[in-house]
Amino acid sequence: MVSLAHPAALLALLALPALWWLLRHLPPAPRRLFYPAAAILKDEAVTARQSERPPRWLIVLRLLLASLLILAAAGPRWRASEEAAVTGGTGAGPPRLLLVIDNGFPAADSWRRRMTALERLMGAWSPDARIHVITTAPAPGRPPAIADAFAHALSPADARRRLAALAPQPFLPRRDVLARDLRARQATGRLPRLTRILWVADGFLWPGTDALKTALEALGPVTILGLRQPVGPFALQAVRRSAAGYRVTVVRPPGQGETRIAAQLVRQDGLVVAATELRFAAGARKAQAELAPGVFANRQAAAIRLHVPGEASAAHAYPLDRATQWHRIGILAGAGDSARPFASPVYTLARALRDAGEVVVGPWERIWAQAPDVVIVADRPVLEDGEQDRLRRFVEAGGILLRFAGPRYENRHDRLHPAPLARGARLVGGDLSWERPQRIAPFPTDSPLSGITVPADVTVSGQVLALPGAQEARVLARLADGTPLVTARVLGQGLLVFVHTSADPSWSNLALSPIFPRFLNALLAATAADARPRKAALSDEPDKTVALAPELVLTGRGGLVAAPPGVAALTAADLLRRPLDWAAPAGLYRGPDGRRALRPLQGVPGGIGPDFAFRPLAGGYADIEALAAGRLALWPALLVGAVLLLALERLLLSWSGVIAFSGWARRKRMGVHATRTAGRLALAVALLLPVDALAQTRPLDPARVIAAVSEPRLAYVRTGERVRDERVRAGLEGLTRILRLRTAAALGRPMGVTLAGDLPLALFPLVYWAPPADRPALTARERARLRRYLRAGGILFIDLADGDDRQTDLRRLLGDDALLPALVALDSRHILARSFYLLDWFPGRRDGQVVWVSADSLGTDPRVSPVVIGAHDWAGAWAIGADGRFLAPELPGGIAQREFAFRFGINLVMYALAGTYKGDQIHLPAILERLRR
Amino acid sequence: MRAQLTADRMAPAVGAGECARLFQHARALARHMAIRRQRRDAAARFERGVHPRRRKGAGDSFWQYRPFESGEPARLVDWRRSARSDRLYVREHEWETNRVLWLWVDRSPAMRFASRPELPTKENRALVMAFTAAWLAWESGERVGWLDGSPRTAVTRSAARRLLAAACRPPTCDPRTLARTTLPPATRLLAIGDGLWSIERLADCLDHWRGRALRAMVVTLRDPAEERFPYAGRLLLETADDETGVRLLIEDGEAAATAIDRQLAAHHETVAALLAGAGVPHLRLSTASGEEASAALLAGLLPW
Repeated sequence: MVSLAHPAALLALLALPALWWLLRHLPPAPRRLFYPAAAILKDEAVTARQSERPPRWLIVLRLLLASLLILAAAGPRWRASEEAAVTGGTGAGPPRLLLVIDNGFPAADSWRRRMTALERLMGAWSPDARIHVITTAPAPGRPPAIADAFAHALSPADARRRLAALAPQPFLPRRDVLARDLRARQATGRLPRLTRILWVADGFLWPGTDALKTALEALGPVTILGLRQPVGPFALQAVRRSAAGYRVTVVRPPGQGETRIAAQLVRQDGLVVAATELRFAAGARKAQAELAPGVFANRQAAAIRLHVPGEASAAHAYPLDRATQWHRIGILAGAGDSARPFASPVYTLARALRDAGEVVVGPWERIWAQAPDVVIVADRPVLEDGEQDRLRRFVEAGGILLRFAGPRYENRHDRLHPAPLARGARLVGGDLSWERPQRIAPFPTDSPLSGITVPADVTVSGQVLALPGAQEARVLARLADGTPLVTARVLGQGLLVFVHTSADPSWSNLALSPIFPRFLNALLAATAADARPRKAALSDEPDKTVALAPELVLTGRGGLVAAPPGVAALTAADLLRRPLDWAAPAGLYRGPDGRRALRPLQGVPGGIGPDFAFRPLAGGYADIEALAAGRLALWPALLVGAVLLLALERLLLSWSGVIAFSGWARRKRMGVHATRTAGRLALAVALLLPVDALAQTRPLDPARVIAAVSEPRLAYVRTGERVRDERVRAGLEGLTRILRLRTAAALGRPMGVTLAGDLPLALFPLVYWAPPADRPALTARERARLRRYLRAGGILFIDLADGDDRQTDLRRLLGDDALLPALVALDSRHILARSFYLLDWFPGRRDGQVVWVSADSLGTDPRVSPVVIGAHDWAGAWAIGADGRFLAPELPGGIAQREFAFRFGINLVMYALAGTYKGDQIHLPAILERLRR
Repeated sequence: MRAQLTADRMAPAVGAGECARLFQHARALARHMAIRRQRRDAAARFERGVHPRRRKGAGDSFWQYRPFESGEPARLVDWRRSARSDRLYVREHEWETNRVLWLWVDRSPAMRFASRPELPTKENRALVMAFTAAWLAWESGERVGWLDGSPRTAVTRSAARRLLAAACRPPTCDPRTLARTTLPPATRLLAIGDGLWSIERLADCLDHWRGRALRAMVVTLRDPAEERFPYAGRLLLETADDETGVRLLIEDGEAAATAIDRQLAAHHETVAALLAGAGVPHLRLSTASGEEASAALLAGLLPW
């Protein structure tokens, strides 16, 4: 569907026959030649008039050229008529539109594509249109309020601003809720009549879809828009603790191509400690992979995240709680263990558990100081009553006690066993025994140890026997003769596990066999896995009434932020059953026994479960990108075609002119002409291509330099996109205004600079750079300038709010050479967090990402970090419009987030102006000490 | 850029620096020619710049005895001859002097033409030829003069720089004034041009030369494009870069080529016939042939 912006221009096509006639009768322009011998030529003989006319193909070519130019002038646009339908067409009065936007997690993966297309569509809307914006998913802690949406009709500009502030939320779209609310409002007759309703859908069938469609159709004509070819969405369907680490299952909609994504185990500070690749075959809906944490011991993994081709989403994150996190393991070691360190069970256990978590070895005090999740006592009785009571309390509160028998084991006064034990040890295979050392029976299938194949040469020559008739204990493994090897019993919230042989080589070579680490890991994984399996396997009811306070909630992008006030406290039972909603978003809740995770998307009706599937939206939808592309005029393509045609004509002309030459001259000439024509063609194409005027170097303008240094001021890097630059400038102006109000720093108006260099960067203490996601990599010249600036003491503040994959973006932008110093995550110890305010939160318009500073800016002798890198879109939070109102009307974290964004900005400016001045407090103890002396 | 200029447009005039370079180049060329000529006919040695004038005057060769006239100084008497008779005789010698070679190079815009970038312009080649002739003349002890419309002096080799200075000066000499130049009678003149002169003017010139008993020689240089017309398509031929010259529109170069070739050939034949009729040696050269071969041809004709 093509429409024309200036149909009148097509009238020029009528002139084409005249052009044909002219071309037929006008000879081509002569080639001017300097030829002195012409002076003696007799004209008549030479210039005899021949009917010299351009060849027919030339005329056709030129007519084609002319028609292309005429068509280009007519301004054709693709599908522009459908677009008119979308904008509400030409009704009486200003059109009143309703935008319904699916902002649940399934929309997150391609969120920006959808929003960009929508914004483009809105660019064509008449400025007097009134627009209502409704989202289908609520924000954590905030009840959905469609009343607000209908109370305020927005102008297209305001609506665009509102859209820019929207973000995907960590919920499924609650179409059912919205449909119910709409119907309720309609029943009371408080809904305006709408010219058109645009539903920007995520493209999948969720509960309430039909209800919402019906409810919307009652209000006006509905157009459903979506992406024809979305990326993903991917969703972490399940994470299971496995022997090696985690088993990750990821699902996606059917019918997509082959893709590789990565699953990463990340720390609280964002550092990736392990990663694995998941491969989706073409068309496959599900992929699985094993995530093995590897040798990164003593680290606490905070979450599992997917790293996908699209944008980040809540469904890509899986916060790990106490149940799934690695264990902090305390191994009791006494005086006797250090005498023969390599033969002691402490040594073999610590080695085997090296990769399973944080291992603490030592006496009781040391272990309790570390608040372990698992305590291992090997080959020793627990005699002291105090310790016995303490251990019992520990287990009853949810801890795990893993004990090993051994030659020094005595169980006389010790009742912390799964089952009563027989006195003394049974030794087989020794000198005084007829029996041979026992092999281990294959692990029973219902045992958590199942799946581990025991090598034939693993034998047990000594064991402590359980008294027969012990009912409450569960046997997890047996020897070949049926006697128990591993027993377990629930005690309170916790678990007692007893291994009836030794953890050192004295009674069994199990501890030396390669399966020992897997054996231990599987024991810990199964017993400590999470509340559910333990409950199911060991038939124990958890306390449902304990309240869990919300601590961190998952953002729509998979980050964890402090829980907003509206989030309710949960009970342990809620963790298992309660569907997610605005009052109970996914995240981490703190209970008496540590953090518990409310899984993203858990328990959502029709949400992620074993039979979860992305079912496509029935009835289909229009491709929003194609519609938005309709706004792209076709004339540039026509113009390019005309230029190419022109080049072709020149080439053919010169080539045909050359035919007349003879001998070597022909070939030679042809070469010269061909190269010349190619050169002209290249020039024409180069002229036609959009020239990045910003990339060109301009001579230094002294007046601008003087203007720049007349006052200290902030600078931002101009990107060439007017809207973006304007927003960043407004952000820095807002910050400058707040700085003036609160601090002694009276800065001038911020200035825009280019990295290629219209002004020396060194004129500014702080340069704010928010590169668009598609910005090309720095050129060598830009890199050199940046490096000079950073060396000279400037601070470059990079805000990667736009990118999906910050690390890759940054690497691509800056190139591979060492422009950046080593980076560490910013925390409250850094001078940047105390240069004016004391901060432990650094949000911008967004939140949840790590802010990075150079590694050498921490510590006792800090340098000023030359770069500060983050992705929170601070300028968006600071930006104040011409009317004195914030451009981003609301932030997810409310007023507090805005306040902290400004505080961070103030700290940053102070840091840029005063350097490490505040860091001197670090030396305060030393100074006081010296004064005292 | 240069290729562009020489192919379709007029080349710039040869400047002073280029002129000096050509001058030195011609010197090497001339020395080469002289050595070749010596080797070829060692017997026919070039006379070292003394040419009998067939009249009495200063010189070494005997010319005649004449009777002593009273009043003459006594030391003029040739006593040996006088002793053989009873009259007094005076011995007279033949007047011997070195000759002057006058050079004239057509520096009109028409000479700044080269049809292909790798060819020299006619002016360029003409200057090389003229300089080579000058060096050859100096080699033989002659004097050389440069006709450029200014007061003329012929110089010996020791003053070669003055000749170069004259040649480097911007050409002020209108080729048409060559006929009107006043040279001493019985002088030698080497005129180098492209032969695209009007026939009437050339005939005038030859009459003038004949009347003054000038011994002239003419070298005509032609570009290959002036022998065979190479251009095709619709053409506008111009003889000057601005609007002043002749402008000739050719509808189809390819078709007109034969006619043009024929006309050019006829013109040159006429020129050759005129020159032959006047007994003026005529050397026809092409800028496409190598300059060494051209110089050898010129050198072979030189002491005409």
